Amino acid sequence: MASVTLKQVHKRYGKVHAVRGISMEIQDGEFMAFLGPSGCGKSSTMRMIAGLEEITSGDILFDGESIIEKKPSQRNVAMAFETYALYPTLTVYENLAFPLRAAGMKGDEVDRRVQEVGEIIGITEIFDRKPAKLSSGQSQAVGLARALIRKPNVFLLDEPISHLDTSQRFHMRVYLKRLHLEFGHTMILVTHDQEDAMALSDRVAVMSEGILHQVDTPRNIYENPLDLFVAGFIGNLPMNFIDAQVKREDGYFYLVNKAMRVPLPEVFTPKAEAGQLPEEVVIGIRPYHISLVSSDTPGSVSAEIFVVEALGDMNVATVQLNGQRLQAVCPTTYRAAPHTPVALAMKAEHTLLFDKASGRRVPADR
Amino acid sequence: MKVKKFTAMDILRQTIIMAVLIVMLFPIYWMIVTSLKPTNLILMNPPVFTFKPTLEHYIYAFEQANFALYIRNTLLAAIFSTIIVVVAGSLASYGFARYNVGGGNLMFFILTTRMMPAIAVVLPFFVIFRTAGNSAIGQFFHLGMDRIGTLVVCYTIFNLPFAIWLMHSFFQDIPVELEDSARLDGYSRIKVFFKVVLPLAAPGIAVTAIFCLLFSWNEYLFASILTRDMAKTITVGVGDFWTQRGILWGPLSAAATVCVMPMIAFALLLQKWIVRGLTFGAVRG
Repeated sequence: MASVTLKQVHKRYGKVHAVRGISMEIQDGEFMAFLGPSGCGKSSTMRMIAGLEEITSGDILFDGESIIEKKPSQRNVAMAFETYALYPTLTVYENLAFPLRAAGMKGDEVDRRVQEVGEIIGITEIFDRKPAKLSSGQSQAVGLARALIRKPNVFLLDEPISHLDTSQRFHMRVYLKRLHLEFGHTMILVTHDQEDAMALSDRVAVMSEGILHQVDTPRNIYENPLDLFVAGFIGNLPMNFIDAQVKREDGYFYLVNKAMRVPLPEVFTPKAEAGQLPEEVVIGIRPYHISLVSSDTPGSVSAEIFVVEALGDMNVATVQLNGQRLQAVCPTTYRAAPHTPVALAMKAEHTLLFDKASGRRVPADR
Repeated sequence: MKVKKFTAMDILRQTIIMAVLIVMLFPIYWMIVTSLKPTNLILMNPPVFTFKPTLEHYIYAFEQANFALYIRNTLLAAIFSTIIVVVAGSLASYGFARYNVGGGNLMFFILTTRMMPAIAVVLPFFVIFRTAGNSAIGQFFHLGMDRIGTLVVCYTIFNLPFAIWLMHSFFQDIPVELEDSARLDGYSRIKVFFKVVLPLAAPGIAVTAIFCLLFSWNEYLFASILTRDMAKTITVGVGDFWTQRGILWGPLSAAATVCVMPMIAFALLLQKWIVRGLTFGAVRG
């Protein structure tokens, strides 16, 4: 096992600048997720750690020692692939034995290790089968077993479960988490699925367009996103964004646009007093923190219903406000026809403000 | 047992298939029949369909016309050129498929060499090989007029672009993750190619090799111009029976039958793979 350090890592493919100066520290035994939309550079970063891609500039260290000159096999990393990457002509057993034999291990030792890992993963009954005869869940289990077999320094998971159907995905996810807790490998998961990233990892690195936006615990990524990208990307129901201006009236601060005028949440008042708030801001608030209230509630904003969807465990109302659509979570009993006038209340303590110009979040004084 | 009812559409379809088959197969049937007919019955009009078959024309073709030598020449040229094409072509197309060598332009350029009619290069080839045959190196490689080395080079030149294109699709079908995985396991790129990629691409390479053999076997133009006696191939040899004394239909048919039979056998045996090769890897491997 090893810690992994990235220092100003860049990757260019010809004119394409795929990874733009990523620096981060992954602790020994930590489960880190690289999360981002496709083409964000997360896979390139992982492949550079594995040594499958050359690094354009910067440095990668395992336990403080630079490894960029080393071949993939000398780095002792293991990888599980989205497409499983099992050799189709070999049986499951032979697939597991392959890395050991390639590393020069002999007869009995190979067998012992294959049996051992086969039992840990629970695939000894399918040892004789060829990959074509396996279900996708079994294939991925074999893929994981093969990655585990060499006792790697770093365990790289390239979208290992996004191919699977929902029930198998949940199964494999729980399984992966347990595997990590039991063996404590340093694990890096590349995924575009925030749920996988949040559920599995100790920390999440959110990337887009080759830039690292934020590295933090799943909780913090969700609650305190550093910028508009992270705020909009994380969360199953996307965060609502409302353009507004900060205005002072009668000694009080308000967030104002054409359709609404709400008091500035108190946590921002000291910043506003000190003139540190940008004038043009974007209000960010999750659908869970907007509620539909009666229209005489102070500080509420009037809007009208666009549509109400029943999602089983909650209903989601999409409302029109000043030509913009916002979503609010409401009780499963709530029903309303389109164009019904409603009033919205935003929970002040969950209201985030972003600088419209830079996209960075304005930290509150708490 | 359930009896399948034929619809009008079925009958029409079957009729058309029968008609096409008759048009396609009759010449081959007639060629074989002619090769087995006694000479005096060959040109009978109306044609006779019942007769006592004879092998006299085959014996004539092999004993009088040196057909055994032509077969040997054809086989040598076809096999050697195919070996070169498969070895060079598989490495080249792997490079194109995985490392995007030449950014697509180089591969297209290679294909363009197939776009001109072969006749356009025959005369330059004639001069080149005649000159090469006079040098020591040319002698060593059996180059020159009427020599097999010349045919090997010609067939290689004309089969290589095709082989690269065909194998390219087979290599692209192999998931790159398999290679990544093998590299993580400790294989060098060369070892990955030989131990992981080649075994998986073997069916595709086999199809390519078969095509190269077929093309070389069937080649006529180069052989007719660049060979005379010693290196003459089977397709050119068939023409031997078009003599000043007239066309010797019997031996000519016998020779043509010998020429065609291996191809038909190949096609029947390897039908499935050849169709796959023609769909250019559209089916995933």
